[in-house]
Amino acid sequence: MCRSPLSMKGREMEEHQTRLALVGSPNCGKTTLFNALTGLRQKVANYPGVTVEHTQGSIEVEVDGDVTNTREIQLLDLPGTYSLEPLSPDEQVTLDALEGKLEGVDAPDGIVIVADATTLERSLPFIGEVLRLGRPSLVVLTMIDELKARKGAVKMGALRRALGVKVLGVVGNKGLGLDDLEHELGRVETWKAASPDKIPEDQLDRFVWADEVLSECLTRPDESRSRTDAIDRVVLHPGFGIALFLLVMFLFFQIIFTVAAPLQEGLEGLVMGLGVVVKGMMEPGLLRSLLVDGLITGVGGVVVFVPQIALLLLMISLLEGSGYMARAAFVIDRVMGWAGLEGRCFVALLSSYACAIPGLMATRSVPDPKSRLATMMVAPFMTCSARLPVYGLLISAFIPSEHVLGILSIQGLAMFGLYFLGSISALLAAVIFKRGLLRGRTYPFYMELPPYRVPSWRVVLNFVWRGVKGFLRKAGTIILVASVLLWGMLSFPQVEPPAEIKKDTAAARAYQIERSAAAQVGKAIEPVIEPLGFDWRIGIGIIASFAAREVIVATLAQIYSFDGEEDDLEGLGDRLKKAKKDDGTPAYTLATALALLVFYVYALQCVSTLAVMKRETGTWRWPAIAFLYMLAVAWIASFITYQLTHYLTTTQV
Amino acid sequence: MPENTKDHDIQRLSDFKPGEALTILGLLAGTEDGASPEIMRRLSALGFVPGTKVEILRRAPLGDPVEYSLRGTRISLRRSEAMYVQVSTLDEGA
Repeated sequence: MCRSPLSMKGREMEEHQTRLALVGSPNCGKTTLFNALTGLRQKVANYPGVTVEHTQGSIEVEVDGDVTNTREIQLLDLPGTYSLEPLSPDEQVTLDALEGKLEGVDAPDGIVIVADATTLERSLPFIGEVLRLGRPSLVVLTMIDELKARKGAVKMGALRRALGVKVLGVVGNKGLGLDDLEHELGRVETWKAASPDKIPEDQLDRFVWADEVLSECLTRPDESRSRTDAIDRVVLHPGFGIALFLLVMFLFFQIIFTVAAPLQEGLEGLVMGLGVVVKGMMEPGLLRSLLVDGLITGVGGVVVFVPQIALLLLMISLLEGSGYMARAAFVIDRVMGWAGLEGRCFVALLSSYACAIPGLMATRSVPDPKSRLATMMVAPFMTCSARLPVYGLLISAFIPSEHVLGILSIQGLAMFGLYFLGSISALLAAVIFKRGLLRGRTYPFYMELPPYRVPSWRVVLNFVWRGVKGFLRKAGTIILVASVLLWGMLSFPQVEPPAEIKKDTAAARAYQIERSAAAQVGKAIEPVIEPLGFDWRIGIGIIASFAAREVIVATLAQIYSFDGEEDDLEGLGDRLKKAKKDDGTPAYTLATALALLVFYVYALQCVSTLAVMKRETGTWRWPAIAFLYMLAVAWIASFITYQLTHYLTTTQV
Repeated sequence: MPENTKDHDIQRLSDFKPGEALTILGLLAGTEDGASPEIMRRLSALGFVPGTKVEILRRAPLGDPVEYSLRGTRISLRRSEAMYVQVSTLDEGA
């Protein structure tokens, strides 16, 4: 499942539209505010560096409180930055936007400086730095509710007098103060520019200035963050912090098999039922075969994995929204440092669990270009949601659904193992890249750890829904097209089955597939994949998977399609398990299944990922290297897996 | 108390343990092992400026980086950056 890039092209307008830019420190709530104002649903989460691109949205505001007189304003959401001296590509975007150097985006007419009210002592100097640009500005303080809860207060009037520009307080996620803000946005012509000479040019002097201003205007919030500290004492505990994390992950994969798998089986039943109905309504022939074998069986076989994908996205969203992501980076930074990388790279890798594309985008917050590149080169090893259908199918078919110690499902354990294998491999590959091809000096690491927050259910649902929608869209486009093409290649050239099997639809179809164009292709590559335990049928699936990984599920679903008899509604997994070679031995053994799983852990079978890698690095060189080395690793690892498992399962001890 | 400090007169943030509260004197720059200008400016932007009180909260489970509390925020730095921050145990702001 992959999402399209977040940035939106501004509408071409003949007349000049008022443009306002949101600028502020990372994680101060710019995008939450942007979404609340524009009604858009850009991704928000509780860690610094979520927004790495500029996004434009329009907002209709009343002029002077007149309901009948409205004007449209273009609002520009920008990546957070700690200063106007950028270290990382995302910070550069913000500076470029303010200077009007961003392609297709004019310099803003006014700047909305957003700051977290609870961290003013750190952010006021930056507010001063932006005010020194001498542009019409408005200061918006967010998280006023958290400030109050911690017994802090800001004297808005005094702050306004000290800064020389208007100051408003809002609570972005609850919509408080937005009316006043919209009113102000409608009268940007009245905004003042601060007089630059009131604010020191030197950064250290600006801190002295800020402290003086705040001594007048700020009642400092309680320093202790009791809830956050209590959670961190456990989560960041030297002994069991990491063990706890692994346990949570482990339990999660258990949940996938206890909660999602039955839902998936239900969906599978529905898909097969639909196939039976359609089959009953139509005359035998090519059209019926296209609908039943190509579309319902092929595409349907992939769509049934929606429950797994939704659960995975839910988990990621909860981790991101709570504030855990920054902690994960904090915990793992030592390991990353040993690899020559930093904690921020790990955040990008974690994002790749949903899809490698947001993972690649997230590397924009990494200051060191070589670390960024190394992270991009290994991110596709992180198991993305496109692999879930493949894992789900093969695990449910070939790993026994038994439990150890009464509660732990072996299938859940296997799923956890595959995710672990991908993650460890990504780290190891990063070490190799950073110590070889991408050697360079170490950049500084700093990471703000935000307070834990209860994730907003609206944000969580939006994230899950967008992901599921993306998956369904992919199923309706790439997977659909691949499935139909595949059906064509499996159905042509048409051969007449011998008389004795003509009655048996399943046998006739197997006879046809064996002599199809697709089989020719599969058989052509069979020598290359035979050492991995794969036959030509899997070969077809692997080749088709280069369109999208899920297509192998559609392929196997088509090759081992159910024969449409209502009394024989077995799931695809069971059909795979029963499949026989010509000599009557099982076509798929545990060794073959494990080798295939390992192949899908490593192979970079995603055109969109390669395209985004090209866009982010500016050359085809890096995606080419990534594709080839990952294919090589996939082959070697599958070879070892197959040969080892085959030896262990066939040798009598 | 300070360990591993080459110059005995200089106390570095990286020399102290969780639980200690310190006052920042400045960043060590210009010397042989000082911070590069860009690290200097970023550490300053994060609030590591003279006079700021900083409390050491905790080490990461693997020993590095370390979480600090300053200016109402929680920031983690690696030892390699914290050693550029010169601190004093005296409460100079009081």
